[in-house]
Amino acid sequence: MATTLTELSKALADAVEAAGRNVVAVHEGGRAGVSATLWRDDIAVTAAHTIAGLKSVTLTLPDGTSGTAEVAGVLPTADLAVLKLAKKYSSHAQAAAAGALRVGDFVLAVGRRGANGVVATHGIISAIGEGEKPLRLDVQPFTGFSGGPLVGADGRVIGVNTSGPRRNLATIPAAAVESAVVTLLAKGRFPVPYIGIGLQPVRLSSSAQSDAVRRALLVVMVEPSGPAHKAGLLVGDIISHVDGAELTQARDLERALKPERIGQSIRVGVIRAGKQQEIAVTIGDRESR
Amino acid sequence: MAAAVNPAGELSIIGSTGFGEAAERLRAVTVQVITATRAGAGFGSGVLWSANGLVITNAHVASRGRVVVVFQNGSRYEAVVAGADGQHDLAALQIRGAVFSPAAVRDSATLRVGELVIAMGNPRGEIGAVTAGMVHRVGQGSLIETDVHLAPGNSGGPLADSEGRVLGVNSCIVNGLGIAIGSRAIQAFVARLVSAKN
Repeated sequence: MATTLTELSKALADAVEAAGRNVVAVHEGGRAGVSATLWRDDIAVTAAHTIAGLKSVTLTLPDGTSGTAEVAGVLPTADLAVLKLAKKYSSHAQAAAAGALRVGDFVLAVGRRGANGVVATHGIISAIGEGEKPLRLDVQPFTGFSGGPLVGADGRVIGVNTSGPRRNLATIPAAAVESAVVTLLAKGRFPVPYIGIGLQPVRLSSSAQSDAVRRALLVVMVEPSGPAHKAGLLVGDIISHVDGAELTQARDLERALKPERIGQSIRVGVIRAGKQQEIAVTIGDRESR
Repeated sequence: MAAAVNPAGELSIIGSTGFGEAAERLRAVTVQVITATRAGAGFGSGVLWSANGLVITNAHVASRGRVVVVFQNGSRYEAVVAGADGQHDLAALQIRGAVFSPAAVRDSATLRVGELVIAMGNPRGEIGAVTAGMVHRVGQGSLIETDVHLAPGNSGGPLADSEGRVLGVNSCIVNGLGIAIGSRAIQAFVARLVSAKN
């Protein structure tokens, strides 16, 4: 008899069952409901785009009972919403670091469809980005899986599913989810790093003799009393460097503004009146201004 | 279990018979159902359900009159539709002439989400084609949703577990998911047929 295959089949069903104990249905999300993953006794996470604009949601919990949760925070840099459950629920996902994931690993996407129970599908990891970038999956994008966990064949939680490009499933890695939840619990909201300027991308010719073009950012607005204003940045300054490094694309400045750097200073290299100079700007928190 | 990649880059699971053995068991009980329609012949699949020659298929494949049932070894039977239930998309065909070895049936109520399953049928005239996938959801009313790739011609053919035990018959595709009527519903349908006859 095909015992090995049967063992594999049973192991996969076990993994789905274990993962399903941490998956709740979010009735309002998407077209016909989405999923959320329990991350603490009273915290669940889901894909933010599916519940955009909502302050609270209704849930079906793993034991079949109904519940409600308020949307406690939406992480602006990832498609992640943190839900605070009205009532504690004892079972939650092991927020274990995924460890050595490899492209080609077999994975299961698990969800919960309304009151109708657990749903599962399978595929492989097709690409792994750096750090906290979403994992790309080769998994059929059936509806309702956003917000549910991606688990390995052993049931270990790899991350939380969301929609990637072309409506494919992508996964926010567990470490990124965990750090978002920790931040939210500590601060009660997600800080948004900012320096308070409006920018227009421009091109600079590096010299009259050269055709080489560099990208830079023209300051077109400085928020009164904002971090950049306090540091002395002026409308008309052209930002050419960030932390000593030449800008290669407009997003380089945005990338340098990380939540963990709020309160620290960033060195902004500007061209003012034809002269290069450097100005230190303290990164502020947009939400606490 | 060990896995290895051969020089051609194909993954093989060492120590596993794959779905081959399950497929062999299914092959003997999966039939082609040929119906006469106004447009010509219609083709579907069916599964040999009982030793007295009851073949289960979908009501949308055959719901009345006479049909032809062809086994994969080439044996061919004239069949009559013994009963149909359009609501559950089930029909029973009666063939006679031998004592048959029917499909091993597993109760669809024991099925778990995440189990591996295979479907056999005759999609696009391809006799005995096998596709495999995973149980996506076990629904109410004995419906089984799978991510198995089905095609027209799979209708009425068996959905089976990793050991080749029949869990139900494939019925339709909804949002890319294969929908099968579970063996629970089929057993109830067969029981209704038998009691109606007596």
